[in-house]
Amino acid sequence: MSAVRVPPPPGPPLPFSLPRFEGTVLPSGLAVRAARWGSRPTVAAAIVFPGAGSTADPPDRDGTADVTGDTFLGGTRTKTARQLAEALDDLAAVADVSAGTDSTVARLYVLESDLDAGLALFAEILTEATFPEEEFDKGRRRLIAALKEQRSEPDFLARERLYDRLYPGHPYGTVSPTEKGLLTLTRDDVAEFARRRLSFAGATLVLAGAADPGALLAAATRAFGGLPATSGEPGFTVPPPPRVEGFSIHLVNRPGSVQTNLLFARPAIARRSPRFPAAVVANQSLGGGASSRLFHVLREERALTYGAYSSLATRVLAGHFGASIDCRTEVTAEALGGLLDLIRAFAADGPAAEEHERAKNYLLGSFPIPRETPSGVVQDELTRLLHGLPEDEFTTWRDRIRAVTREEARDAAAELFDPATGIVAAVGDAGKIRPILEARGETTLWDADGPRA
Amino acid sequence: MPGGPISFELEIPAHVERLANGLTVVVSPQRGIPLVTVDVTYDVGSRVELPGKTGFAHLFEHLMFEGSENVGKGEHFRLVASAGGTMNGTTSEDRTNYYETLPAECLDLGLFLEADRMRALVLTQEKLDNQREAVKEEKRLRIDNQPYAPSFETADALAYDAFAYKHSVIGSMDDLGAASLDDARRFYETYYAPGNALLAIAGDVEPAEAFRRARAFFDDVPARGKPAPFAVVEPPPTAERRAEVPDPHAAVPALHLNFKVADRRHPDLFALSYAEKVLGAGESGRLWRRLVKDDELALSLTVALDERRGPSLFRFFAIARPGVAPERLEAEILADVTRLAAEGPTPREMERVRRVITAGAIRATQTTQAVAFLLSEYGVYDGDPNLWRRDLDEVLSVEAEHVRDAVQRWLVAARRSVVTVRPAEAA
Repeated sequence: MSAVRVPPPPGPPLPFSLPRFEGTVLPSGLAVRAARWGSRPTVAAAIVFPGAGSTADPPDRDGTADVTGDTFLGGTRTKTARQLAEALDDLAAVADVSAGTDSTVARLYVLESDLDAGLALFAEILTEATFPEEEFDKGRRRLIAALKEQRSEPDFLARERLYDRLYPGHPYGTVSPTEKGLLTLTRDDVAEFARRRLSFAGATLVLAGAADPGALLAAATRAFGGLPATSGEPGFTVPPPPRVEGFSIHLVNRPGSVQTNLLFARPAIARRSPRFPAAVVANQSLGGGASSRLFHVLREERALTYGAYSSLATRVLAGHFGASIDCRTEVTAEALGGLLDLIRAFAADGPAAEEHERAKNYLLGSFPIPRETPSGVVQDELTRLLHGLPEDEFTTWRDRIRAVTREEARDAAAELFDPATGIVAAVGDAGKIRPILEARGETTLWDADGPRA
Repeated sequence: MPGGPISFELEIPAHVERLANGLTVVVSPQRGIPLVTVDVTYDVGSRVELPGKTGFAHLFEHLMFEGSENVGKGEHFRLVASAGGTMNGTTSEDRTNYYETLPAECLDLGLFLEADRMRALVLTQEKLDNQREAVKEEKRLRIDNQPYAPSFETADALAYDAFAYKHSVIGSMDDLGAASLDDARRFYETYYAPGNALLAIAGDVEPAEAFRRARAFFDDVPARGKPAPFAVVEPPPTAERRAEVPDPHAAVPALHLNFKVADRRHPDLFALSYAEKVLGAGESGRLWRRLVKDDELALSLTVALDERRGPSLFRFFAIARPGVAPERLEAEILADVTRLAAEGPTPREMERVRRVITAGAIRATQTTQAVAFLLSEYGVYDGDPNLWRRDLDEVLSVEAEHVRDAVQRWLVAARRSVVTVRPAEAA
């Protein structure tokens, strides 16, 4: 048989449908949604508390949401921290409570055969946590110690400076609590935050697994159904961040760096916007992957980097477009110039026809890949609930991607990607790269400990 | 007993055929989602590299994406993206793999791309120079510019005597700089033969049809010789080894404490996988709980059984809390190892680990890519992709006495190497 010499065409497309979630609302106000998904006997579950993220930190109490999430496993009315840890591990279950900017999410992974025991433990953690003083102190000391170690990582320093300048004075501008903030917090702040913000009124428990959705709902009702009605303060209490204006560069000095880590970001678009799909298609052409323009030119043609990418980040109250490249110190000028020039050209002209088609095909075809597992479809549902997206957001997502025209992608790029506005955060050896950055725009020097140098 | 008895079903079908040119083909139908993963694993990793040639297996992996007779430069990425697929390649000490996860109706594209580069890779000086720079950037990004990362190279170099595992997969800048086009041609001829590879197809496919298609694309890849069998052999251990690494990027000290243990699939390694989890897994692993949570001595602790085809490593890596000396971490780790060697795990710990292993196997085989990787590894290393299931049953039947005995046998001073990492001023 002779070799096939041309790329073979795809066969007829095979249908892929997302599962249908069934739901109920428990007396506590907790909504429950469950779907059958996957073939292995394991269940992914998560509760989202919208609004209970760092945006809900009380005034002068930065880090409250973070530390609250971290302290949930500190003990319950009937179990010490160690007993709780052992009870989870006896089930080979994984439980975690963590705060982001816009929400706190509690997650549980458990074998289907242990679903009742796992959910009972999950409910105990979320409703009977006592936040013992000793465990609170330990958790806080661990976070303070970790801060020092984090400052040795270039990625952390770049993100810290980028967000601080992109969202100045807003909770979105903080990627990690400060030592000073942590030292101000008390155990009572944490218990109070849990009581007020992590209320089941407004929260949703999402479950997916190979089991029947009715069985998942019944198990959730057995674990959470006996709780009384709760009241709390769900929702968002801070205003959206102001939009950053102008263009500026922020250099974090990290002596001895052999690379410069470069991040760019500028305000873009909210997840709820009807133009979000057009922005996603445009971003895919520019920098979404290895076949996109940034990677192709900056790595494959010019050998400046291991990888160059762009992305859209969405918060509930804002969204931004970002791009990144890491390069050896010696080619910092070429890498930053190349990155910004490519973004500028794309914002001006939009994608070529072939780039646009490829981006859409990629987004359409790869849609099932992150949704192979129960946790993948749970994540979709959490995103939908957090951003207040309609019930059919993900079932109609591919139709909306398919409908994006090249003109719409170009318009989105022109409005949302233009690097005339935005922030560059650079982490590297300032002694070698400061003049290079100053040649590209107004540059402020910072040291790795945070303050302006 | 908390948790109760474990009962679970986990069957992953794997059908095997051998083509006339020597290529092994494994097909695993995974119904439900219309995706397929095509994975070609070559029986070559950094372990075959000689002094002066380090990093070459991984550099060569990059060259495999740069075009072949019917696939132009850059076209591999574009074709996969256009089909709605994802792709990548990875190189370890023991093997190199290439894979695409695609809509199931695009199976032919994955087979075409893999067959074309197995049959007729196009190598040029320009491509080599370009990817050499990309790999150097990868090394700077992942190792040279990160805290603690370079100390892992020191730890491996200290633990091993045989050059195969003594050097890192990423290699040295000097060796990457010296790699030539002739090296690349020879490497391809030697190791990228169909008889030295395994093609796995996992996903929404019908086995007979998948084999038919595999033959249509791979039958005309000419047979080439198979390289001589390769084994990593270490001399008998003699004494503990120690080293210190100054790290200009580290903020606090850290400690590597490694024991050189048996090859993967050795019965004692099954037992040591319990020791690994008793000490470090989950929220309640003894040593992790004590060092990180209760006694507040370490910021983080990783306990990992790094299983290799040759001698493996039982690794501890701890980052100290500010003010805690690495010597203290070392003493604490050794105290728990000594206790485990004397007393073995408790019955409750044994049950817990069995459950963790079961849950791990169930969760780790939920995607077509994970299934393709698992079957490929057993197929290439052991000649039987179905062996993983027997291993899982064997691991689950390990008893506490065996764990205790294995710790006594392998986690001993003569097999130990210790690297302390201390913050240093940047030059």
